[in-house]
Amino acid sequence: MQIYCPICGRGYAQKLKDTWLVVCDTCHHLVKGSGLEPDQLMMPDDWSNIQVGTTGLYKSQNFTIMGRIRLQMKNDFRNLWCAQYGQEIMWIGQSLESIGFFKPPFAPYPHNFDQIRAGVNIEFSEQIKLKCELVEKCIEIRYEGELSPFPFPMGNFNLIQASNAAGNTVLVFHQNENSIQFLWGEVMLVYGVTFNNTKTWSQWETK
Amino acid sequence: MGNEVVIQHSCPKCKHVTTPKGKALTLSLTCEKCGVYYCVHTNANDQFLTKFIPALAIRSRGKIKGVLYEVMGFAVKREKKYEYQWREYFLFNPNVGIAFLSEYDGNWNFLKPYSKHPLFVSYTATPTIEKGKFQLYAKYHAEVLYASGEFFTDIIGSNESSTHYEHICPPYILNFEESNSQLGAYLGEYISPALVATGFNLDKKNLPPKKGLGYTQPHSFSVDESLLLTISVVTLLAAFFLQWILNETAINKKVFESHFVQADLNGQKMFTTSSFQLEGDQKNVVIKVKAPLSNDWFFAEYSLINDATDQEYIFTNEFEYYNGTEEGEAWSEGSNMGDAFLSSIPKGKYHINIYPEFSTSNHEFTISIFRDTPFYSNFFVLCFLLCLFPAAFYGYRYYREQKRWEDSEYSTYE
Amino acid sequence: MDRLRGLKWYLVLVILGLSFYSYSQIIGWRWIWSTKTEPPSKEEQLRNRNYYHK
Repeated sequence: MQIYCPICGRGYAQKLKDTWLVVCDTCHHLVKGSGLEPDQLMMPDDWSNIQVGTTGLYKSQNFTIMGRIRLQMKNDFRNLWCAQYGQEIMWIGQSLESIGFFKPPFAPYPHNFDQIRAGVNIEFSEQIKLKCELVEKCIEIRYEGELSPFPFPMGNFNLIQASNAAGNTVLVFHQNENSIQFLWGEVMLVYGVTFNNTKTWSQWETK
Repeated sequence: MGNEVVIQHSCPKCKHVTTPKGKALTLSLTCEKCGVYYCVHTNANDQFLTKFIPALAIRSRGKIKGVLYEVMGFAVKREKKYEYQWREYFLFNPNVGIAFLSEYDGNWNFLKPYSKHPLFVSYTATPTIEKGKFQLYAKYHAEVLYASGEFFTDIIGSNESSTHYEHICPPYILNFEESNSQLGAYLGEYISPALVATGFNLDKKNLPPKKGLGYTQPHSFSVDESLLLTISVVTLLAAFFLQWILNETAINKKVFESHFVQADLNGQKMFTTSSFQLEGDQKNVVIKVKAPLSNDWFFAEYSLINDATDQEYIFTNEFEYYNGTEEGEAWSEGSNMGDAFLSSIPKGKYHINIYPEFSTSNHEFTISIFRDTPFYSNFFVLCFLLCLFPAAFYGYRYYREQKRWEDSEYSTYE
Repeated sequence: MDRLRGLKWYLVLVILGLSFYSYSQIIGWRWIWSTKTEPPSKEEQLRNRNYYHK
């Protein structure tokens, strides 16, 4: 379905099966969706080489990056890239050094947190224990491109990331006791993943 | 794509506007004008009391391990308990990520984030990764004495709330930082000051002078320890095998035996043995002398003479034997046997001239001569010599390791 | 070959040592505790020869 930016008139063909938000790449205005502040549609440059349109291969299937949610914490950040993965949606969580692939969609988190902090183990299931490595309040949230629904658009949540040695990882979005959502996936080093159509920073020759 | 959002930050003190090189990644920075440290997303700020000059200038670029990095930030940190200080340079290249150069007493380590640190899974005193088994060197809390440039975290806040674990397996270092909000880990490696200077196109003299052995510095002399042990053990086994073979093949033949009595001297000063044959090319000869001594001694000079060539080997031998009873306890000292070991005597027909010195009580002796007797002393000398290098190596290593660990409260060295 | 770094000379010494040890054992040369022998003085030589040939 073709939609047009109400400000600049640029046309966009919706590609995701459940498009929730489209931000105009030209004038940073909402093409689809509502309720966000203008600042939240201004994506800052953070030297990320992944961009909207970047493609890659995960578990023998191609994906294409459609949009990004940037979560700024006091001492860290996460880029949550929304990717078209075959007929499905996949979220890709990117930090400076690691990258996580989250295939299952957002789901209510079944456990509660009691004095959660980095370093403690959280029991995800009877078999799976994950060590909590990040507990930070999201202090700023920004959007770009075409996105699937995100449960906390205003960013008022604590982000918790926990992982184990097998590479399982969970991103938990904790707003309050009754409102906790999570993404389940697999984490790996940034250097272990190959993306195509990425930004290159030519002024930083590496050889 | 799209028009870029320019990121700028205003100093909370002098309002000077800075455009950070790290763009949105920069979370804290110091004002280029007034030096105030401030965080981008919180109200935290700090004015440092002392200024430190970095050896690697902020914004300078240098190559480490073939990768071009830019110095984004510089921090001087102090361990809270023992108050030693070190300097950290925060490096960045968007194509490869962040890295750190850490300098203490002129010794440098190059560190990069390492998400596979075993402490991410569970606590262990000896984390083991593909680089080896690491030992805990330090556990500390640090404070930031000075910072300049920009950083991708609030270095003051995050440092002061974190517990740091440093494990080493020279030349590697594993750092782990734990706070209530984040875990972080880094894997580093010792890097020589010369490489830092070359990488940043600096004169080595402009870097802090190197003092002592860096705690991750590899030894100037090192060998493959398992190979050294293998060579030593195989050589000892070979020597043992050779000794066994040569023992088995030694003929150990008695070639002469005779009993002499003083009365047979008939006024002469010496006895002469009959001739005996020494076989083999060059072999040893052992002369065993026995006398029925009791609180007495026996001395003789011997001359082994080749009948054909008159080649002579002169030697002496003395032995004594004393015994008695003292306070009801019997005691004895010495032996009523003596022997002489002559090395490498050529084959041929020989006789011995014996010049005995008899005491007042003993008037006789018996002499036996053996050819090609097995002996062990060379084997023990060889073993000793073979062990010298490994012993010196391990001694040297122990000494250097002791020096390496002398600043650590987790040292296992005395 | 990199494993041999710093050990090549030790390996050479070890091989030389083993060879020298084997040679010494074969010719019956005890490096230590061998009885010291001395060549005779002219007087001793004369004395021994006279007695023996008497």
